[in-house]
Amino acid sequence: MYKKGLSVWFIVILLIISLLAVGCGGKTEDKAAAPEKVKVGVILPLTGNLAQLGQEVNNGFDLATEFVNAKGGVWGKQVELVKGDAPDATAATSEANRLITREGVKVIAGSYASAVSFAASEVAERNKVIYWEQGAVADNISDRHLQYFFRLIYKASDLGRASAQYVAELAPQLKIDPKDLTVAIMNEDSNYGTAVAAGVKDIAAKTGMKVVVHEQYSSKTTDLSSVVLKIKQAKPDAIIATSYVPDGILFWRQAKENGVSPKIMIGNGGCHNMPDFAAALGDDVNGVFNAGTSSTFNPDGLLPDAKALFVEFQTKYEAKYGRKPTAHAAMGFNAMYLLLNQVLPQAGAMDAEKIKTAAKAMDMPTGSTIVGWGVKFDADGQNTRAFPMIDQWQSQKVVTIYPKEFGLTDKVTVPLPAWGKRADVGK
Amino acid sequence: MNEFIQVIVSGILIGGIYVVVAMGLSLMFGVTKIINFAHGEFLMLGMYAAYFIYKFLGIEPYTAIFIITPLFIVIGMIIYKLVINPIVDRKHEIQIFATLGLSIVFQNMALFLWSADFRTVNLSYSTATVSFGDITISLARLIAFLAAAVITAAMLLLLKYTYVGKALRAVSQQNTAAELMGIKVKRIYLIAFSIGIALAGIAGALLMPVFYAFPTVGAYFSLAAFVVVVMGGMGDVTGALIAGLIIGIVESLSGFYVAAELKEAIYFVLFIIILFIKPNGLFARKEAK
Repeated sequence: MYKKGLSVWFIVILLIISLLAVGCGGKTEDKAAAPEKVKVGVILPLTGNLAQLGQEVNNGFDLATEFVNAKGGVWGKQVELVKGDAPDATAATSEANRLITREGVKVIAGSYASAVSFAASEVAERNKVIYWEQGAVADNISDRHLQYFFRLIYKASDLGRASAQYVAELAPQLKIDPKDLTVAIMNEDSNYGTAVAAGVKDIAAKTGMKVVVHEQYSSKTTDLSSVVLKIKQAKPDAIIATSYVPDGILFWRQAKENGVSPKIMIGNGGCHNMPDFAAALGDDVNGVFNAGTSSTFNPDGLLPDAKALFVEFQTKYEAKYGRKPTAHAAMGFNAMYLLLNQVLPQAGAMDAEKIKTAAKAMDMPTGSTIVGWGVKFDADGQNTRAFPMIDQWQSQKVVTIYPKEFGLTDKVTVPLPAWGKRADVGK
Repeated sequence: MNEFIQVIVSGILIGGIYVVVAMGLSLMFGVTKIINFAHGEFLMLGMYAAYFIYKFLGIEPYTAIFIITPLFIVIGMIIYKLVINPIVDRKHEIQIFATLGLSIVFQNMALFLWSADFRTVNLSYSTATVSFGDITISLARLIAFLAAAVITAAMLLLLKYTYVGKALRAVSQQNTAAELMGIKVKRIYLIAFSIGIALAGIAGALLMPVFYAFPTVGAYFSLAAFVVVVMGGMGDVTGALIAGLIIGIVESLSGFYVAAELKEAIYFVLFIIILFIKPNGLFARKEAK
């Protein structure tokens, strides 16, 4: 049975490889005779479709934990992150259960992906465990009035409002009355995209901007030519888009092929501030706006302590991971750092009620965190002092331009130059 | 009228891509009767191969096909020997476990080795177009479509006129009888599987200029590819070509005239209707019993 032998060996090799992989990831789980540690649960999509940004957040979580541990940890004990990989909502539920019942964690940090956060925070709530959300934006997560849920980032609809508001403010520079400005809304059709689009429509109604076309699509699509064609026919002045990375790249490449040329193009996070987006479009990315969290704004707008932390985070992150942190890495760092450096010390013990009280008591002004936000939670656990910034791609880099105090440059190029003529944006 | 033609053209182009992806799957299923759930992952590996060949050797994806094809034939043979051969005569559920397992292994291997980043190659022709009046056609998609046509023609010629092709057809019709006629059935399985994997690799190279590689990219195409294979009559090459184009056109039309978020749903509804009318697909062959 020579052939059978071969396949057995193949399986053995696979097993060894997977053991090695587990070994690499599980260094922190070495429990033998270790001193007592402060355990914090983490639920992130580390594999699957959502893995890319999940890994970014994970880097931020890890670095924040290193920072705090280097300064002596929490309550004099080292912090250990107990991680659960949740590529989708089903896995999120089972991993949250595992962290709570088997690992006994009292606080879980997550999750960036709205569907994952929605499911995992439900489990946390039932078990009276704190869910500390750093970057999932879907409105319905905080609309459930959970008692043990805290979210640092703004809601998706507020993100849409911010981008639409900015478009309305740009109208005079195009010598168009905001009331005559025509807008195309394009979004992927999950919670995230639809909530952003709702925010955009809200502002459009208030400012009088005309929504001439609204297209939704599944982010797993392989062809967006129908969406591109409809937008091309409508000839909007501005496109307000909400996309993940793959569909965002697909849309812009097909838009270029079909010669779609709006005067303003603004994205709402997801794809539109990622390095992969620039890599795919080259110089044609320049001039595109993005509303979302920024990791590369002007730190002079921050309070002195936050500015020092911002600089330290940027240098240490680049030293450790060999590239600049993305906004998701910065939000991950911010959330974990606030939790370990402020909330837990204030709470005094690993007790959900005490942590909840400490979090509710937080009152940090705007500019006091490394992403520019302040912190003040409302009754639903929603941070009321989070806000998106506006960036423009210039020289294939994300350059923050708004709010003014965080802006890196005053040079904003509108209208968007034609395809192939965007190298000089911002110059 | 112009936009209608443009929508049809876009549909034909995306249909061409589905055909390229589905062709290998169709051949494998037709001959070995194994449903290869890892087909999307071989496509993904093909895209990464094209990406890395371009990045490190500077060879453009279309030229890289001449490296990828032999490379993937070898990979196909190795995978066949290690994974497929032991299960080829086993029950369907065991075969499904094996190929599905293979797909999970490849996805996570890619994630582990190359991270979840979206890799693109930015070539001068990535967004180049050919225009006929108001109709614009993406050059790279047109090339993928023409390649689909060439591959289909080549497959038809191979199946019709060569000994291997005749043996492939014989095995796909009745493997016991084929064996009795002196065809080495296991060797034909190996050949079918390797060609199928090579076709997935070629599809990856053709897709790379317009699409992007990431560990789970296979799932984006394999679902449509399965529909194409089943609708085309489970293993019929011409059927796969026509089914791929139908799905592309239906998707494009419904995306434009109905709603973009429903376009996948609409071709699935059509697929179900067709299965009701012709349960073995549009071009079902009579299998010798």
